[in-house]
Amino acid sequence: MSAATTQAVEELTLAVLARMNDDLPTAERITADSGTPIMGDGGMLDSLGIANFIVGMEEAVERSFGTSVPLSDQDLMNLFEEPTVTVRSFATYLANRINA
Amino acid sequence: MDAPRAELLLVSDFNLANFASILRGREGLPWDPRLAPLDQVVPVLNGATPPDTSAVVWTRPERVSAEFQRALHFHVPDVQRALAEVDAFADVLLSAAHRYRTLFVPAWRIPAAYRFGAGELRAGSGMHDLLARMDLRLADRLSSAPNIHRMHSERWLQRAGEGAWSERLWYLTKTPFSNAVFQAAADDLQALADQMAGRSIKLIVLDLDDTLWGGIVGDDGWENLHLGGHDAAGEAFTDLQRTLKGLRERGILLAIASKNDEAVALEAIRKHPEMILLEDDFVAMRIDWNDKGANIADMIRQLNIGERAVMFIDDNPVERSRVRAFLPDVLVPEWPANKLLYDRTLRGLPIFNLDALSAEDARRTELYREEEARERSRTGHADTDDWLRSLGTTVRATPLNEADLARVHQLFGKTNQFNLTTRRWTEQELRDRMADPLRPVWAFRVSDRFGDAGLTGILGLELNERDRAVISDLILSCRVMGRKVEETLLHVATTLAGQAGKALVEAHFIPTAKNRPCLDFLQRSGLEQADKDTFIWHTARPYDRPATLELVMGGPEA
Repeated sequence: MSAATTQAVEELTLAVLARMNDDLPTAERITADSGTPIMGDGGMLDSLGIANFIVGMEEAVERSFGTSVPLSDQDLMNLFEEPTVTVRSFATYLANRINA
Repeated sequence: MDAPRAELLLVSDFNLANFASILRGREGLPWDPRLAPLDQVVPVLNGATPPDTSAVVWTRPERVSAEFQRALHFHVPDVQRALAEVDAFADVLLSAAHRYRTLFVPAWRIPAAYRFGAGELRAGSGMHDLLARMDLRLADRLSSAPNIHRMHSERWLQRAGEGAWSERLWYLTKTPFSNAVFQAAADDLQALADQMAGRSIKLIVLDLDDTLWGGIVGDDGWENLHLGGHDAAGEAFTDLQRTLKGLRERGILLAIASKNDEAVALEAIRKHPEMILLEDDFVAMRIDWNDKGANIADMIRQLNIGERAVMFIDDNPVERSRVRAFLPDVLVPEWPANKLLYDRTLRGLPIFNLDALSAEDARRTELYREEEARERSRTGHADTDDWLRSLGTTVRATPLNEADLARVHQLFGKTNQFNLTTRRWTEQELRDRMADPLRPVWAFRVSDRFGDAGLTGILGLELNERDRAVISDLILSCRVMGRKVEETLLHVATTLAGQAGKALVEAHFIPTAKNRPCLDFLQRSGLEQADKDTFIWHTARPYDRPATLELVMGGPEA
């Protein structure tokens, strides 16, 4: 398993968000950068979008880092301690989980 | 402003929200998808629905059949009980089919990875055997409803591969499939919508060298081509030719556009013992050194086929690119470099509506040859009427009956040019009209000394109003246009209206991007143009039958 830097996980997160666009109508497509809120206050994902995103991230982490990091409801609760989860804060959290 | 699109209700016992998103992103689909309440399949299907609504009814076998659910948990199934539950579900679908325009019903599947021991396919007790029986039972029961389309979900699962079933999405959102499955399903829905709208491929134009056979005939000689024999590539080429031959026999036209010396190429077609496709299988050939795009355009004109109904197959990416640029509406699929994949590539294209092909289609190549002979016979006649008289044309008109229903439905679906309103009636709607004396539909067959063009015209009348008849449908295949069959349809319309006591006949033209030929005809037909798109005729004055042909009117039982 290779070490996951926050930057590498952030790039992976943006790639997963971009991939989700293939399954969305043009008007609902996501444009994101590291500061974009994805969950919580002003988050761009609805509940189904969050589920799709979580599943996409789990698969992408497995492909890219060779490890399985299931993101449980407790993980999401931990994330939501912050009012807004941005691409950057999500990537920081996930990089820590991968490297733990 | 665009007309509102019909609704496509997504009815399921699992979460189809991801599928709905994907469908909303498909701009070519003719429907607006809407999610029905989750897991309310039977109440939704039994309830009222707005007119013109279609639905995807995508269920899991374990929700339709409690017995199947027990079997899924390793109980020995009671097959008859499971089939009775399938019957009950089929009854709901058949009843709903009267209220919905079209129902799309994906076949039932469970993960192939589920194992049920050595006897999983044993008749009567095997789990996978039970699912196959249930699927077949449902197919049999639904076969009587022409507006129910079962969908081949197995293909979607195969395309999505190992990740087709998603336990994570299931436990998080009650969505059993990954989006790759929904994308494949959306592709199939798009293909079905295209076919139902009459947009299917009617003509395949083929290159020769390294497309129909292996090698360059001009360099290698016909004796040295890779075709058949004990040679992997040779067998692949004969398999491709067999597939094309089968399509031709079902009514798809074949043509050749090849840069070659014509005599050399024809010698190969005539003499190579492993050629499956023979000269007579091709309705047109352009074998020369001219630009292929121009040659294909020329053939399309000659055959009077819309560009969107044409596909071009060539192994050479430069030629493909050239034809795409020259004829953007012609379908030019990417073609694999590996010749062993040719046949699979052709078979994988979602473009042939074989379901709707009729006896007339099977004769299509012959019909085009007859048309060539007919056109050649123009020479030597003083004028068009003189030529038309020489053809000995007979038009037979009969009220729509069960035997003609499939062909009439097909003609409604695919006729774009000479089509007054471009309404696409379903088979069920046409069947309803058969029983309704106030909304008769008449079918027209045309033949002459060169051959029988078959059922090529349709007239629909609305006789509900007290003093007037409305021509609801006026359709003619391009195959017989320009032979005064058009006027014959109007003669029949005005005659029937007069017999029904109507003083006036009205035709309301609905313009589309393609039906200008119908408007052009109406404007020179002799009918009075009441406004831009309305044409009328007072039945007190007969609308004469063209003297250049014979009309035979059949009775209701004809």
